[in-house]
Amino acid sequence: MTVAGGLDQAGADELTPIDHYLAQQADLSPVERFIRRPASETLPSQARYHRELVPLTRPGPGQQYGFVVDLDACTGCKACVTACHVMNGLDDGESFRSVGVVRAGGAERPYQQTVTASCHHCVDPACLKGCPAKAYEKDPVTGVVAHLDESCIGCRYCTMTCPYEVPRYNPARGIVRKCDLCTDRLEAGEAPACVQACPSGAISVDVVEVAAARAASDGPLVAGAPPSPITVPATTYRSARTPAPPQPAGAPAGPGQAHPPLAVMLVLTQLAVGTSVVGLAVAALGGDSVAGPSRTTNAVVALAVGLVALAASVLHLGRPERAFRAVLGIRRSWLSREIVAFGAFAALAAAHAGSVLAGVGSPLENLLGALAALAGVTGVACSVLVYAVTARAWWAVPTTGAKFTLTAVASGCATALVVALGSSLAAGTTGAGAVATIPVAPLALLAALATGAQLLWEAAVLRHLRPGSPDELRRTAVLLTRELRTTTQWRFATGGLSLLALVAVAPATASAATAGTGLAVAVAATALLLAGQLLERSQFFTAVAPARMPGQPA
Amino acid sequence: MNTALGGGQATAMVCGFCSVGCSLDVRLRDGRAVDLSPNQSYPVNRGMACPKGWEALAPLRAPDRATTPLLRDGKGNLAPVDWRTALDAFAGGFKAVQAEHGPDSVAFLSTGQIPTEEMALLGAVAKFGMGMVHGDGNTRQCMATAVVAYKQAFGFDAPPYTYADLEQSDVIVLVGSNLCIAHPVLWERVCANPHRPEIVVIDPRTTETAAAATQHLAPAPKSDLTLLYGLARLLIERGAVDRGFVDASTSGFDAFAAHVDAFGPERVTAATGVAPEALERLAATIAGGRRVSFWWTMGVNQSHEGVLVAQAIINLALLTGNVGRPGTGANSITGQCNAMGSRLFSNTTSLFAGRDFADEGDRAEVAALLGIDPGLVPDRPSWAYDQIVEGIASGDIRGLWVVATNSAHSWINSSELHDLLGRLDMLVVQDLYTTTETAQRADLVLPAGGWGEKEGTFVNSERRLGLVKRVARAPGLALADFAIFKLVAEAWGCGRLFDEWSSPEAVFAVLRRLSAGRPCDVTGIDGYRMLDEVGGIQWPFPEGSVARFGEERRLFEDGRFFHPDGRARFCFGDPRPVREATSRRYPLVLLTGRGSSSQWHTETRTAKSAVLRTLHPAGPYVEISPADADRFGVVAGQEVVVTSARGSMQARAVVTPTVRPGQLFAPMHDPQVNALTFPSFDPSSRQPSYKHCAVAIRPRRHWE
Repeated sequence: MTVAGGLDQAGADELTPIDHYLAQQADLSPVERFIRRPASETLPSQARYHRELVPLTRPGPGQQYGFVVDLDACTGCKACVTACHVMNGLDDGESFRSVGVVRAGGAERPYQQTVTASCHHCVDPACLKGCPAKAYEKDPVTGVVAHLDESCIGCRYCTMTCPYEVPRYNPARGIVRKCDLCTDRLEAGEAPACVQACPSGAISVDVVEVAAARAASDGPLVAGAPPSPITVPATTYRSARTPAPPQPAGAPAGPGQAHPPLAVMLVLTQLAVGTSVVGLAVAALGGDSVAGPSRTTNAVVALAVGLVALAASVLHLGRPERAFRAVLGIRRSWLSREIVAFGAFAALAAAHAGSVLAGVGSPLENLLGALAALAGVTGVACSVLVYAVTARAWWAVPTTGAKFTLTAVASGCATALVVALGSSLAAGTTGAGAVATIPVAPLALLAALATGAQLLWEAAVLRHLRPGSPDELRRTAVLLTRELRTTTQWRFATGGLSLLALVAVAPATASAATAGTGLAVAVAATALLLAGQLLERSQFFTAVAPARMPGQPA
Repeated sequence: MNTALGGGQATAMVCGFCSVGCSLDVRLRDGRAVDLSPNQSYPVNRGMACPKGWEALAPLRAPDRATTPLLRDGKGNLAPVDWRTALDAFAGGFKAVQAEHGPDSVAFLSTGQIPTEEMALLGAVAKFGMGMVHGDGNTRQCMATAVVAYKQAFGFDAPPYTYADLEQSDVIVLVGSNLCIAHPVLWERVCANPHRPEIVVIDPRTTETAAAATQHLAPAPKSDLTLLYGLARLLIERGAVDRGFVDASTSGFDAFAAHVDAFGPERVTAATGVAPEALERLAATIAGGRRVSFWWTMGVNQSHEGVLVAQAIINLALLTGNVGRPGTGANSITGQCNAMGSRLFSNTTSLFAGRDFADEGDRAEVAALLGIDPGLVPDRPSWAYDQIVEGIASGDIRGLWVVATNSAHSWINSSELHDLLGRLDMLVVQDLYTTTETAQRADLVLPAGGWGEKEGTFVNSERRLGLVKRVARAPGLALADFAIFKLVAEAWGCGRLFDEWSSPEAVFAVLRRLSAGRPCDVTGIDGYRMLDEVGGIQWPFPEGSVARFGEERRLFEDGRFFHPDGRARFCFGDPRPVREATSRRYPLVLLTGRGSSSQWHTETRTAKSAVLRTLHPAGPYVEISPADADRFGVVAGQEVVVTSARGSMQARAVVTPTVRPGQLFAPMHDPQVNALTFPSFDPSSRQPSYKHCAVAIRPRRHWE
């Protein structure tokens, strides 16, 4: 049906009405008839509203800047979050502030309080201490903990060391970013974006005494937050009306990030080091009777696995082209030390493998092997400390140390066994002599023992399901049995089966004729073992449940 | 300061979300909006904005913007067409419906989200040009109750206050208003009050505002009318009546006093659950206050008897003489950015500038002012929103034009509306996005420009006209609603009627003319430039008024109201039971409301901003008291199913003492919520009662 009417009329400007309005829609010049000011006049200067919210003087010796949050004035409008995003020109969805909720009381006197949080510019910043790339600086005068974006390699280690989850990874940029207390604004005598934007003046910046901050840091900042002594945050939360004890409003946090490259890297470095050490031990104990091909292959396998592990860790970086920076923090970062140790391990393992291949002879070969093993063991020890220093209960030295050591022992024995059996079979020396020189039973049983110990150790955390257990470990136990139940089941199934298969290797290899079967069983056992270790290591990350700042209510 | 802006210029405009009407400095590069920050000198917001305001530009950049008209093709898919085809389909389709079923078989549903000039043009084109009779706005869902309450009490729909009253009161009473979350910048004004005011919140929930108050009364849901009558009785008993004001400026006080005499303490406590001492304390506070202001929002308006509740609040102000002085007033805080513009000029249920379609004199006056044939003006008022929906059910409404609102999500008892939309011969949806629940049902989608892509004026809660400017290009073929209405008029063949309505500012001149001599007279505003220069202007502003920057004015300072006798009326009635009481099967009351300051209504816009999305829980949730959580076997964080006699929703349980036992709270932003709500309406305002229906809750079974 056609319409009689004006759609075809050309106006004075010779356009049909449709074209006229489309042209008008694209024309942005009409705004020119209104008042326009230089954009520079619109920012900054909310000065008259926040004159009292920033300090008049710079911090003196023994002082630094810190946020002060008046909880009683914060009503949860969250303008601080969006103002930070807009005024700092941050990326989509990115803000250096967040707002959570705490609640308390019963039906009679219900209480709820929003809690705005940003970087606490800690006296002992864990982000800075942990950073392997020296991408953090604490200003000696202001105390502002600044992140140097151009130095960051995107390893995300600071997202684990900071108890307050302040540094946030920005996948598009491949680095983390965080609040710098709007240093530029403060220098210009202006308030930070969040301070400017708060309609109720709940956020301010003040000069705080470092000693006082240390003295005041025995409890958490707010309900549910991590213990302050970890980093001595400079933020002060004030409230006259908060009843005790408020609780974070939300349901407990779900599983954490899995970090697959890190899980692979941890398991494989430990396997490589274990294999290297076991190979060395077997050679030392068995003397020259250990078949040459086995020693060569063992050295090559240890090296190859180690290199794969290092590649995985480099792939984990948001900015792999800056990977070289990862050693700069060696004076304070366990991550740098871990990287240096494993780098040395790789280099020495390569030299060792080369020397074995070249047949340079026992003393040098053994020395290189021993040095490689030493570097590797140091690396594994560093790995333990990388996680232990984050102050998360489930990553404490006893747990992590036992796990990483047992992984190295179990997977090292199993791999060395497969290598020995495989290379002697491949070399065609299936005679009684060749296989007999391999300590099949000790290796298999040691691997089985380590696996069993590890499963028991892992299961032991479930005792914290009992009421009254420490919150963090109880939450870990709940995660393992509830949200992560399927992974847990698979982990114990693979672990248990690998244990059974390991026990079966020696009987299966009882006679030379069945050496092939023995190898097959050993390969299966090692594969199951490895699968189990990878599952366990992914849960190492997903089931850790540190205390955190209050989050969203649901 | 690594902000995105460099040099460039900035221009100020009013925000397009809520009715507070904050001014935002939009920074421009090559005339185009880059980013924004709150304007520091505007008398409303003084350098502050809520998260929505800070992110006001983000929704314009969304990937699901409607960039071309879409017409449902033979296969039932919405396919892109050009404007010519779309307008032919629009006019052809609706004319065919009207030819078969009569002119009044096509209706429109409009909005409080577009500038006054656009809604006026829509009302004029639809009613005077296309012959429609029925058209209403989504303002029915938020403000209709306040409109009726004011009209009956004051003689005109006239919120009397100015925001400065929040700073001048010594007692602030907030009824059904979560100011901290719904209007954060008005809470800023409360914080700026130097008189250490007593802040009283009347709300069934311990909202953020209740937590910040000095007194919180938590009556049982929908028992507020009884509570307020009981309060009035206590005030009269105490001798808190301002006899001078009541005698000189009101009528009906004695009858009101007799009416509330029946609301003694036992009755009030039995109905509301509020302890007599708490009410006594409040009465003493109000009686002792020198400047008491009363404020209400959706907790009052969205009720089966909201008009009476609003009038009960007005009565408290009248009897204590708290009207027309600084820091006083019975003050409705509006919802949408231009609900107030719609109330005056949308030409839906009332004729332009608060006139009456049924009044022959009013029709003649408007026709003369517009230079049109009086016969073109319908002689009966429009059906209200719910009656239009009923009209679809009865077959009286066959064609529907929905402009800038998302009925399929927001309308009460939405499952029924879903069914009804399918019965229409023609559904046209004009919106920014193709993805709204309503646009997805349309036969024809018209792509509209949004806030920032058009010009016009908004009227805020304190009657302040503010300016919106075009600072962004609309994507593709999207056009400002103004242009779409003009093109529709051309396509319909009635374009000549609106020759004078050539641009938003030309329409503004028409509206000024229509306002002359009315309570909302704005003949003294000579154009947009003037609004821009003086920081907005509150109505009334008759010819000859002098504009001063940042001026704040309130109504009724002379004690004269808009009724012909100049007196305000005490209006009252008996409380009525809720339409759907709780039962054994549905033992809980479901309350609905705003979830957070970063969410706006059906979230067609706010959900487009990644940073706003981080400010509220990710999925649907329902709040439940610890006692009820125990009773119904629900643990924090668990997935639950909430059911009513009409539908069900799945959500995550949030266990919180801020909700009373026997009640649940769910934010309105999830479309499932209106599958539960019960369609009851205030009989005189026809506003839906969103905040009361009977529901049950249980943990979700694993196969669900």
